Amino acid sequence: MTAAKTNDPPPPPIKYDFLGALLSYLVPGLGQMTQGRFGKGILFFVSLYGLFFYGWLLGSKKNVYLPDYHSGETSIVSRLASDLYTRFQFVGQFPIGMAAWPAIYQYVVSVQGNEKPPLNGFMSSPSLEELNNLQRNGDKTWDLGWVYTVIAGVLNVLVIYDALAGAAFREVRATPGPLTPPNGGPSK
Amino acid sequence: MTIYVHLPVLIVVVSLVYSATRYDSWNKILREALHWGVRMTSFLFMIGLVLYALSTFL
Repeated sequence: MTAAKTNDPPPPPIKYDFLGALLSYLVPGLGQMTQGRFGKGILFFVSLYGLFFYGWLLGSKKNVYLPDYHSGETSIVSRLASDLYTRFQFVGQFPIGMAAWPAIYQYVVSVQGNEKPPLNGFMSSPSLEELNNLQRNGDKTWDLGWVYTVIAGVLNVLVIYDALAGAAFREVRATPGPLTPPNGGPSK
Repeated sequence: MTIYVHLPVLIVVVSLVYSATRYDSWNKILREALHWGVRMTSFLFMIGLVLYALSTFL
């Protein structure tokens, strides 16, 4: 089978924009905005922050956190790994960027041994009693909330890649060339 | 109140964001988002219908 020959020029090589990707990690859509794709940037920003905070509110503002349950672990790496394994949802929430950083800050403060969470407990780990009450006494809204926050985080991975390498299907705009008649004769 | 009232938000956001990462042209983004929205809604509706039938007739 032979491939059909076309006269279309090959698309230009992809230029990776690592700064744009970093900015889109920090705030969804920010990388696209700095690249001049302002509309898409706004779409990503509104959609992903909308979904993330909608889920956070559905979960009574207590479903984005990283608990410090394994203080007995010997090294900080194994402690963090155990805590992430316990609250694996945070792995999906993390890519949303700066919006999830308060949870990391609360975790660091907790690991350092401070009893009282800063920032009025914003994104701090709820007590086990609170968690039991949220899951036992409500409908499934609390669980639905964290699912939304995780989906927002995972969607931001696609947005980061879009900022890094552009859209999945690149559109090469055909540039108008000199008109040549179909019989190959000289153009006028 | 049923938790399914929260579903449209998810479908709209996933459709729009996924489509916007595939194309740059707004025409294509919106058309693709509409297709994904219809596909996801139909799929979820069929699953719901099957579960409803199972819980009612079995």
